[in-house]
Amino acid sequence: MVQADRARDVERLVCDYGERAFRFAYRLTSNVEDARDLVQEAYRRVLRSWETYDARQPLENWFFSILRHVFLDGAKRYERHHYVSLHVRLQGDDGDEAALEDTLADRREALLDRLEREEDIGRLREALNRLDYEFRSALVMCDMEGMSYEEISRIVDAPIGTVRSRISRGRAALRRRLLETEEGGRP
Amino acid sequence: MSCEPEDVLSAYADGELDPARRARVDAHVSGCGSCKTTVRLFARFKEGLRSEAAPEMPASLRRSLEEMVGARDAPTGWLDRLASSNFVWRRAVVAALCACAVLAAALWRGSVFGDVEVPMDLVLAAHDRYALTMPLASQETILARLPVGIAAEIGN
Amino acid sequence: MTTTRIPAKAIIVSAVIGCFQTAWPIMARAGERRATSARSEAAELLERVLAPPRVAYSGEIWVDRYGDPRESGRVRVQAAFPGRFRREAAGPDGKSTRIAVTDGGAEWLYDPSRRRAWKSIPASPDDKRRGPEEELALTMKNYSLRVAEGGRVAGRPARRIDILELNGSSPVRQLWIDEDYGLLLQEKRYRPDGVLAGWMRFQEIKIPAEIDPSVFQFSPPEGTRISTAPIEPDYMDLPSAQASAGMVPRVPGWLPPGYLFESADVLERRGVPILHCRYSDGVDVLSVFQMPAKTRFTHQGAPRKTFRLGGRRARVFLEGDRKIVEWLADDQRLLLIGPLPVHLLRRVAESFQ
Repeated sequence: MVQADRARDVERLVCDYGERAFRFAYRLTSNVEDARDLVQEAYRRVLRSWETYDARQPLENWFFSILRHVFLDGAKRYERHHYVSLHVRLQGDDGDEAALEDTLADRREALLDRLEREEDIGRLREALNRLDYEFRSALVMCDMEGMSYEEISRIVDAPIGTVRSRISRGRAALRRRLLETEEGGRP
Repeated sequence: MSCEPEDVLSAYADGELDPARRARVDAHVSGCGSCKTTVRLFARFKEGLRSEAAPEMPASLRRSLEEMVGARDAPTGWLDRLASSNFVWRRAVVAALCACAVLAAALWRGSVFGDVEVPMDLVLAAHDRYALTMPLASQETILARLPVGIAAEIGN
Repeated sequence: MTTTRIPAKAIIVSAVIGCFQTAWPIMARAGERRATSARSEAAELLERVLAPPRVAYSGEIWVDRYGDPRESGRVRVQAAFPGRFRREAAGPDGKSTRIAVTDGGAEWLYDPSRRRAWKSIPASPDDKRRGPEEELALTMKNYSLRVAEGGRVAGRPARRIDILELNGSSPVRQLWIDEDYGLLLQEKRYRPDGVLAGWMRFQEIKIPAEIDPSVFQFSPPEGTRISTAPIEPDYMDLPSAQASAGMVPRVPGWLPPGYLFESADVLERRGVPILHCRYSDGVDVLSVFQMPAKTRFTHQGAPRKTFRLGGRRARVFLEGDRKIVEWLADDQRLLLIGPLPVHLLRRVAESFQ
């Protein structure tokens, strides 16, 4: 009976969770090869203590560990790929926009209009790919994976306030990038 | 009426505010154009990103995970032919059966590890890989040594 | 003449550059503590050689390894700042046998005859628990450094650094450094008994050189089989390694002078965890591997020697300049790997009991 349960757990761990982990990794990296490596490495690390897995613990916890490793290793890979690129931190998202208050409000509304009419959706993903790993991973987890702040906080091992802030700043960065890269665009 | 900070609006768009706070923001947003735009923009980002489809997990990854979990002696041949078919559901079923059967077999054998072979090349590769991270790793070692990619492959 | 087996990771040199800029004050303090200007000069020269030249260069390097078997080879190299290089090992007919190339990001290794390519991301020294500047501080503490005139190498004037053991009279390492650009022009590595173990030198060099940037780009040709190297190892402390491996790390009771624990990693082989603890003295590395006894340790060739250890037999293997000592203790298999003389490794092994 116990062995059948474990066999079922194994199947879920590989088939169901494997699929989800791969999707998560792909969304972090936009790259099938990197995603596969991340998932493999995460499983390797988590499965090392398979023998000590306490069957009374929900399999979900295991899965969270896997996602956590994907997230952490994803960060390392991200840093590597962006080795030579300029790592510009977006300064004071609130600060320098004050000067152009009115035009800004108009431009944001225009952007919203276009997004609601599906005109800029492709650029959305591109803009996401260019964000700092911190922001990008937060948005992948919240918007693409549909995770709650609580779940995200477990994976990245940071307080909920930090998670909330990263998501919000990530969205501000997305908005800024979309506005910046329009024809003629200064935000 | 002062506007809500952006991180509050963002959490509001995610449904992550407690009921009391949410009610207050509800009230504010209904009367404030710029906050409303912000919330709608963030919500639109959510939908736009959510709609993106991800590719399917590669078969090689599935096999690799199964192997890791204990499908060491996975039967090949008929399984591989099926795996290359276009029917996703069939692959999933077969893979699941395979994993279950083999893990069960491994458990009956009494030990999931069995007598696993650890080649000397594997530990040498790990040692060398680390030695190459030393600031004074000798140049002639670096130039002459197999790169860790190859050496590690022996271990894989 | 056997061909050199591939180039790989002097890129650590370029990766170190960033952190080494900040390490200079630390190095200077280490020099001052010694209170001799000769030591500070050595430290400064060491710093120069570890930072890659800011100009592009090209040339041909000859490499010899006096192990068993003896290996020789030639490598054509082109490099540009920052972190870009192309190294081609050539066979006796002059054709490339291996090409290693990077544009600063991922590193490619290509074997044209077998149509195989490997892609890897080099490890960052920042991931280690003991960073490059601390490692060098350890070097300075455990070895003495001497600066001398280096004559000319490949036509270029050079200064020479000798690295000696504290109570030694002949060097374990000698580095010849280009006066103008700080590039390593020649390096000799010696066995503990003073016999030459390895030798690398530029036979010809052009510095600075004009290099077409496309030289550092690599696209695998049609039909190439590509493998990606696994993600970098961990650099864990012992408690984390214990949790990850599910094994209590065994720590030697005795280590050769100057060796300190740096970090641990856990490998996996078909579900079996292998704990890897690393120790170094700033120049050499000593590895301790720990795994369940229920494993089959396979190797090519017979052990060079055996000795009794805790009522069982320990085996000693030689692989190039590395010695491997392997034995079973209780329910685990242990391995030591390092370039140290066997009698010292034996002493380390015995201290586990």
